[in-house]
Formats: sequence, C-alpha cells, structure tokens
Amino acid sequence: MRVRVGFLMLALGLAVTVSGCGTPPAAEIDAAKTAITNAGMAGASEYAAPSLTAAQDAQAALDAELKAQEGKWFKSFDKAKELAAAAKAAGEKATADAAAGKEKAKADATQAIADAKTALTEAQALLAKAPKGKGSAADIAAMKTDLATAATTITEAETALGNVMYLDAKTKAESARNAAGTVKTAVETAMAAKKK
Amino acid sequence: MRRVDRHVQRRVAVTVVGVLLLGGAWLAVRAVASHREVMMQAAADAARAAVQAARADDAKHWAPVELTAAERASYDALTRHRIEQVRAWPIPDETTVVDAWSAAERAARAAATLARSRCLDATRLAIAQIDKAQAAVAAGEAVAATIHLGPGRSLLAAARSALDQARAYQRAGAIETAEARARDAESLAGQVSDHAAGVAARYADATIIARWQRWKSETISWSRRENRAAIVVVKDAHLMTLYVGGEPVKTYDVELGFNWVADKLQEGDGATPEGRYRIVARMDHLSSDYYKALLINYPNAENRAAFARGRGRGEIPASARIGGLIEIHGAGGRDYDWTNGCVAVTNPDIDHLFGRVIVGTPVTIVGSDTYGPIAEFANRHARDATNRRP
Repeated sequence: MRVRVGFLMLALGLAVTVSGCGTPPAAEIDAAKTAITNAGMAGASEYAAPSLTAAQDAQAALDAELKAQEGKWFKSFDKAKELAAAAKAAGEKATADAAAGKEKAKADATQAIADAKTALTEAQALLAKAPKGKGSAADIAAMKTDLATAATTITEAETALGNVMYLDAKTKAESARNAAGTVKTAVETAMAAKKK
Repeated sequence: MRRVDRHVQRRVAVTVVGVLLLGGAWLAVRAVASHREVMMQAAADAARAAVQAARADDAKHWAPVELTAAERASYDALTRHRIEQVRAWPIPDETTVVDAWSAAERAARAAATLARSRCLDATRLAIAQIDKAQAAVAAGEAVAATIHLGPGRSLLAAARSALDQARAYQRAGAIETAEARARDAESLAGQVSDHAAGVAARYADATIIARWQRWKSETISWSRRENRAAIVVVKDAHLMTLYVGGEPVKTYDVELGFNWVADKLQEGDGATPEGRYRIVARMDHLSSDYYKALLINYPNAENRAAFARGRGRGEIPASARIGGLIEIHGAGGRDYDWTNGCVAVTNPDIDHLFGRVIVGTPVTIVGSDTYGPIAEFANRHARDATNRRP
C-alpha cells in the first residue's frame, strides 16, 4: 500500500514538474510583438524595409515554434524564449533603422533645398548684371520668369518637407537648382561672349 | 552447475543480441530521420531564397498580393517543419513539409516573375511618357524662340521643371510618380503651344494678312501722293520704316510690348496695337520719361468697337479699361520686348525720326506683311493637332 502511494506521489510530482516547464513565455512574446508593432509605426516599411522584413520573419519563426509546442504532451519553451528575444531585438533594430533612414532622408531634402536657394540667389544676382547689348543671347525677361518659377518650386519643396514627403521635397529642390543653374550658365556664356 | 552456466550464457547472449538489434534499429531510425531532415531543410532553403529574391525584385510594390501569399505559405511551411522537428516520434513526415516548402517556393517565384514583368511594363511606359514630354517641351521652347510667350513663359518653365522631376523620380525608382510628372510636363507644354498657337493663328489667316498688306500699301500710297512722311511698323519683323514721298528713307529696329504678338485689347495686356493711327503729340526730352516720344491716337474708332465687342462676349472684364498713351519713344536698344505696348527705339533713332515727322503723320502698325515664322508655327500646330485627333 505504501509503495503504491509512493509511486502515485512520484507520478503526481513528475506531472507537476513537467507542466511547469510547459508555460509559454507570455512576457517575452508580448515584448516581441510590441517591438515589431513599434517598428511599423516608426515608418520602417518606408525607411527600413529590409530590417522590418527581417523582424517579421523572426516573428514568424517564433509563431511556428509556439504552434509546434502546442501539440506536444511534454512542452518546452526554451527555444521559444530565445526566438522571442531575437524577434524583439529585430523589431528594435528596425525601429532604430527607420529613425536613422528618416533622419537621412530629411537631411538630404533639407540640404537640397538649401542648395537650390543658393543657386537661385546666385542666378538672380548674375542676371541683374547680364549684358543687354544687341546680339546678346540672354532673353532677360524670359529668364526672370524661369527664376520666378524656380522660386515657386522651392516653396513647393519646403511645403513637401513640412509634410514629411522627403523624396518629393528633394526632387523639387533639385529641379529648382537645375533651372537656376541653367540661367546662370546662359548669362555667364553671354558675358564671356561680350568680353571677346 | 553446468545447467546454471548454460542458462546464464543463454540470457547474456539474448541480452547482447537484443541490445545489438535495438542499437541497430536506433541507428537506422536516426539515419532515416537525418535524411528526411536534410530533404526538408533543402526545401526550406530553396523557398527562403525564392522569397528573398521576390523581395529583391520589389514584389512588395509590384505584386503585393502575390508576395503576401508567398510569405504566408512560407510561414505555414515553417510551422509544419517545426512541428515535425519537435514531435516525439523520431521519423518526421517529410512529404507534407517538403510539399509545403515547395508550394511557398512556387508562390515566391510567381510573385517575383509578376513583379519584374509589371516593373518592366511600367518603366517602358514611364520612359515613353518622358520622351513625349521632352518632345512637347522642345516644341514649347521652339515656340518661345519664334514668338515671345508673355504670360505663357511661366507655363514653359513649369513644364521644364515637371520634366526634370520626372527624370529624377525615374532615377530614384519611383516609376509611377515619374510617369505622372511626365504627363504633367506634356500637358503644361501643350498648353504653352496651344496658347501661342491661338495668338499666332492670326498671322496665318489670309484675310488678316491681306488686310495688313492693304493698310501698308495704302499708307505708302498716301505718302507718295501727298509727298509727305508716313510711318509703317511691322511687328513680327520688329522693324519700323519711315517713308517720304512713298520711298523708304530709313528702317529702325524696334522693341515692342512684352505680349506684342497679340493685338491690343485692353490696358495692361502688354500688346502693341494694330491699326491706322496718326501722331497727335510730340514730347521732347523735358516732357517724356523715355527721352523723346511721339504719341499716337490709340484707341481709335476701330479699337473702341473691338473693345465693346470683347466686353459683350465676356472676353474683357467689366472693370477693364481700354488703355491709352501708346507712343513711339526712345530709351530702347535693350534687345528684348519690354514696353507695355509702345514702340521703342534707341535715342539716336528717335532723334532722327523726330526731325522728319509732325503732328498728323500717319502711323500704320501691322502684325506682319507676309507669311512669316509665326504663320509657319501656327500652321504646323494646326497640322499636328489634326494628326493627334483619333
């Protein structure tokens, strides 16, 4: 009788121990999900797409592990804990990469606008000194209109920058800079021709 | 004693054989399991590589539905694979897993193929549209070289800017945005040509040219008959000729209104008027802001009638005025059309003219006296518009 009770107690203890090992690491799983959600909200899909994809793949590996352990009698979530930590780290990396990518895009757009403004100012100053003699290639009134359009495009670029549309802002600013550069080159050519 | 020994020997032999058999069976199971794991892993690697390739082909943009389906199939295969790896039974069912990974691989390859195809089609469209826009901008610039566009110049600048942006978006891989901006450029450039063609159409109109030629010849005939001075301005040639006794005495280079191609309709339109006028006042350098000036009688009766018709058709706003103070004056020689409608010459030229004309001298201003480059442009634009119609 005592032996049977002993065996029963042993079996019960074993069952309790095994079921204790089989608890999913809820905190680690939630932390991984939160990290990946945060990455999406930080704009990782636009500014750090490869990092976000890697984080999503890590989440998928974690989900696969959890599902695999569900069907087992003797569960073990040690690997799931590792995968959750990896997914959380991947999510945090995607967030950091998104912030860095966004900052770089903003810096590129801001610099492009500054360059465009400089080019416009230089072209306007040069146009004021453009030669007006007969035979001059410079169509001064037309170039004034071209520079006015470039100024409008710079304003549009600044609006796009304010709306966090960095590619638009950079593209418009570069277009304005090119237009101002074209006017500057035309005036310089006319000035050089007049000197000869 | 010997019976006991044989019994023990038999038991030992059975145990050894049993252990050997179990060991052999275990090795065989491990071999089969290992082989199946290799097959599953190979299928997994192939599927993962296919998904990565689809992502590299930007399938997320060009075939998002197909890529999502491939990724889901990949995650499903991963789950099945992991289930087989952790199950208690040591020999995995590799068929289900390999099939799942193969399905994911096929889906990923299909997504990649579709993405490449769509990207290529979109790129071809964008490039074709950029080429069309470039041609339209070039046509607009040719118009600008032929006639002064006036307000249309800002449209041309905007068209050039849009074309520039289209090329930049194409370089950045934003293909659809590149095509859209190229369409904007083509549309803006088309408006430049349409605007210019509308204004230039008069220069290709046989009736109008005939009228201009008649005005010019009647003025010269009057000069011959009366043996007096008369002035003829031909706008598209930017020339003004002084006739005395019907013979040309001197031809002057002139600068006109910034919108000289048009016939003046109202104050501030920048157009130099066309018609038959007379000098009504002479201003010397003390009375003129432009060294010396000869005021003509714009608006005349015909101008007033045209203004009234324009008002009636709603082409001229009710608040607009017909304008006036159109002169032939000095301070010219700037090599571009800068006046608000007056005819400008250099100071030496106005000095030459001033000494040979009086109040009452006829001044006839015509758009052209022949089919010139503006007429050619208007006809070409009309032909192109006809060819573009479906």
